[in-house]
Order: sequence, then structure tokens, then C-alpha cells
Amino acid sequence: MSAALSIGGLHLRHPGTDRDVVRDLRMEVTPGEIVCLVGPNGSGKSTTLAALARELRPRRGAVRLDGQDVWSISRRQFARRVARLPQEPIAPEGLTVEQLVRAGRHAHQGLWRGWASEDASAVESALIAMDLLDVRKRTVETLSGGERRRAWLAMVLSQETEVLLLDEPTTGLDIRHEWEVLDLLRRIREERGVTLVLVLHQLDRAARLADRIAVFHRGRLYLHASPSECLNHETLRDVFGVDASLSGDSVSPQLTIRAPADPTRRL
Amino acid sequence: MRLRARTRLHWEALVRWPGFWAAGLLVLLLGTAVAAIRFGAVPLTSSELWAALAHADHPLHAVIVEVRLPRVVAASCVGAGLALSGLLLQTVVRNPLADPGLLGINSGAGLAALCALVVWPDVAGLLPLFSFLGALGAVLVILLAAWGPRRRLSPLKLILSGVAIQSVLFAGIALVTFIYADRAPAFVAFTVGSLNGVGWHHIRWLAPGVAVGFVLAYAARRSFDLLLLDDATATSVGLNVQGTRLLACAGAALLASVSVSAAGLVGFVGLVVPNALRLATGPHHRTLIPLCVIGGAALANVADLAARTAAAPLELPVGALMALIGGPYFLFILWKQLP
Repeated sequence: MSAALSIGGLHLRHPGTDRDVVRDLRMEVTPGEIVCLVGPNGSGKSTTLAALARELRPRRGAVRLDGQDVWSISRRQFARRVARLPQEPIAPEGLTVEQLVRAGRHAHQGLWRGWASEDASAVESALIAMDLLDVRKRTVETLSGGERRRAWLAMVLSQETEVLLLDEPTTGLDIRHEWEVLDLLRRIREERGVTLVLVLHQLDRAARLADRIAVFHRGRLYLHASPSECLNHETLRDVFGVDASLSGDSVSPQLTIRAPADPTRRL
Repeated sequence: MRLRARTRLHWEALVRWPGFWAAGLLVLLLGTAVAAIRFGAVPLTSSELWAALAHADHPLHAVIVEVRLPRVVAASCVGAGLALSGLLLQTVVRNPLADPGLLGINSGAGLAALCALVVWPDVAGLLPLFSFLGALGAVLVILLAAWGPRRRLSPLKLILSGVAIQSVLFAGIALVTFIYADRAPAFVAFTVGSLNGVGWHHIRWLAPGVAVGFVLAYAARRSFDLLLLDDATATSVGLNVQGTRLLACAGAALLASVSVSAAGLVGFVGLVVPNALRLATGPHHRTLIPLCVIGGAALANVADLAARTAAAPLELPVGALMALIGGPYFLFILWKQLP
């Protein structure tokens, strides 16, 4: 259960503005791959994710899911194949974890087809995968930061899609929960074979998790290659503006930052 | 000690249970309805009431069937319509501070109805049509203004645009009332909101209008639940976010306009009822939609009964009474529910 994403000549612009945030982006994501989008703030990562999620219509170019333009797929059909978790999702007060996770099944239900046993089992297995059985009846606002993240991840999991798009899924988590979430993502890929595209700010975590890393710089794709090829001294200097290096192996990569590369240079 | 803890637990479970509220509000609604029919210039005892209802030749039969009963039915429909309209608007703007009155939808309906009354004073049958068109027009202007140059709806923009449009539309109503001061009594009653003089001819379109709005809202309950999530997530699970918002706005316009054309500008029912019920039973439209119908009907009947009895034989406008309850409730939301 996985699909390929192909991004061709993408120009993206937020509606009502007159500047392209992403320019001429070309990128291939193979089925079952984990790709991390990294880059400084404002380099176009989240905007790209919104375009992949069929939320932002490209000004030029197209996103293709298994060769099919995502805008030619119906909304409901698309939601059965691609799920996206935004940076700061909002749940209404009084919503329980279980009810939140059930929301992920919306695209699988129709006007006539109500709640079915496969919906219930998808919700159940998402709750189990995210270790939420104990808190399923609690309301979302009473959860801790880590539990809340897991609840949202469970919601996108219950959608049972071929592609998962996650925008900074570990932001705001302590190191233990961050570790757990990244571990879970790896497990999800192994168990379900989904294609994962995620925005991450911590380069060492990205290097550990990703098969390939896409480095964004000022709205363009600077590099798209394996972690060790991507996060070399030159890239870190030119894109992130730090004098740093990545050492260690792929299981425990280490990022050492010595100093800003050139404090006077604007990124 | 343990017993008390257990009792409290049961009590908490009970007040979270929608059936408890449905039953309680239904009892309140029926009780007020019976009281409202008994009370009037000629008060009735229960046995007299049944006698008058059962025998068409009873001296009070006509009063009950033609005046008091339609008033109770109309109050119920108006309350249910405004409460449902408020619920849909609160869902659209994802904020408890929305109400068809505050957002200018009532004023749109009212202005159109007043203009119709000025131009064609005799054609009362056109009133509901005009007020629906006025409410729909107000909703469209609010949406367009919120849409703005950035071509994107957001809850906050909808609220602020509604407040702006409301002040313009209400100025229009004030102007019409001022210019046609000779017809002032009828217009003033309309502007403050009153159920005085409603009859079965109002209910002929009021009841179907509210029924259509209810069915529409209940059919879309699952989509409305998703609208409470953020836009990106709701889109991601496959919801047509802007389409659902438009549907909710159209439903709110229909419900508010039929209510306004019968009772005038009654505010705050749409604010208080959905908000209080959401606090009590949670954010689910499956339970909130039916509960708002019962709760809105009950509140409108209580307010109308109070308006008729508080200063009897003088009758107070029910809209003014609702505003007396609603204003402080607005502050309660401000203090207790907003961060």
C-alpha cells in the first residue's frame, strides 16, 4: 500500500500575494520512501507540503500521484490515498481522543454508507499503534503534549492512506516523546509500507529517519539526496548559515555546530 | 465519603448525557406552553382549559385556538429556528460568540421586510420571502467582505465582517423607522422583536422553514463536526471546507429569516442556547441539533411568557427581554470560555 509522488516544475504562491514562495520545484518520491524536507524558516517546505496535500493549487506545474495529477482526483478519493497533518492542528473543546480518531474515516464513509466494521477496526488499530487505549475516552485538551501529538497521528493513521504528509510532527515534544514519535513513524513505514514526506527542523533526526533528504533554500530545491550526501559542510554553511558538520553513522548521526558561518551574511 | 464521591460521579455522568437535557428541556417546554395557554386577559384553570379545547362552542375556544395556541407554536418555531441558526453560525466561525443577530443576518432580513412593508403595505404574504432574500443577501455580503482581496475565508474575518455589516444594516433599519415615523408603532415592535399578534398564517411558512433547516442541518451533521477542526486537517480528511461553510451559512440564513419575519429582531437566543448546550453535552452536532430545537423553543416560550406576565396587563417586547438575558451571557462567555 504505497504510492509514488512526482513533482514537476512547481511554482507556488499564496492566494492574494504576488510572490512565488516556491519556484520550479522538481522532485520524485518513490513508493515506500521516507523523505524529509529541511531548510531554514520560510524556505517553502510547508507550502510545498500544502501543494502535495492538494490544498494549494499550483500556479504552474503539477503534483502527480502515481502519474495522475492530484487535482484530477476527486477530493474524497484523494483523502483515501493521501493524509496530511498540519503544523498546529486544532480540535474543538470537548472532543474525545476516540472521536478525533474517527474523524479520519470521513473519506471512507459515503452519503449512504455509514459507520462500518472496517472503520471501527481502522480506528482500533490506530489507537493501538499510538498507544492511546488508556486515554481514548479523555478529551483532547486534557492530554499532555506528547499524547496529543499521538492522538493526531492516530487520526491520520486511521485514514489508512498510501501517503502520509507530516508537518513538523515532533515540534514541542520533549526528547523522549520526540524519539517515540520518530520511532513510530519508522514502524508505520515498515508495517504499512506507506510513503512518508515530512518537514523536520532537527537535521540529525532527519538524517536518522530519512531515506533521502530534500534541502530547501529560498524557495528552490537545493539538493535531494541521501542524508550523508546532503548534510555536508558546504550545504550546512550555504543553506543554514552555520559552520557545522554531521558525524557518526546512520543509526546515531551527530550534528556539531561550531558557530554561525558568516554572521554578516543574510540567508 | 466514598458514597458521596460515587454520587458525584453519577451526577457528572448524568449531566453529560444528552438525554437528560432533552428530557429536562422538553418538560420545561411543555410546562411553559401549558402555562402560556392558561395565562392571559382571562386566566384559565387546567380543567377549564381542557373544556375550552374540547368544545368548539365554549366561549374561550376561539381565543385559545386562534390566539394563544398559535403564539406558543410560533414562539417554539422562532426559538428553534434562531437557536439552530446560531449553532450553524458558531460552527462556521468556530467561535461561541456568533449569533444571527450579532452577525447582521437578522438585520438583513429585517431591513428587507421593512422595505417591503413600506413599498407594499398590504401584501403581508410577501414578508417571509423578502426577509429570506434579505438574510441571504446579508450572508452573501458578509461572505464577500470576509473573502476579501486574499480570497480566503477565516472564522475571525467572518465575525468581524458580520459585525461591520450588522452596523450598516441596522442603520438602514433605523433610517426607515425614522423616515416613516407615522407607522412607527408596528415598526418599533418589529425592531425590538415581539410575538404579539402572530397567528396561524405566520406558522404556515414559519414551521416548514424551520423544518427544512433542521433536516438540512441534521443531514450534514458529520460534515459540521469536521468543520470544527482546522481547515487543513478538515481538507485532509476529505471535507469540502468552503462548500460546507456555504451550506451552513445558507441554512443559518433560512432559519433566521423565517424566524425574523414572524417575530422581528429577536437576538441572543441563537447565542445562548447552542453555547450552553455545547458546554453541557459536548461539540457533536448529532446531539446539539435536536437539543437546540428543544432548548430554543423552551427559552423562547419562557421569555415570551415572562414578557407577557412581568408587567401585565402591559406586554413587554420579548426581544428586549432576551437582550437583557443575552448581554450578561455574552460577558459570561467572554470571561469564562475565551482564553
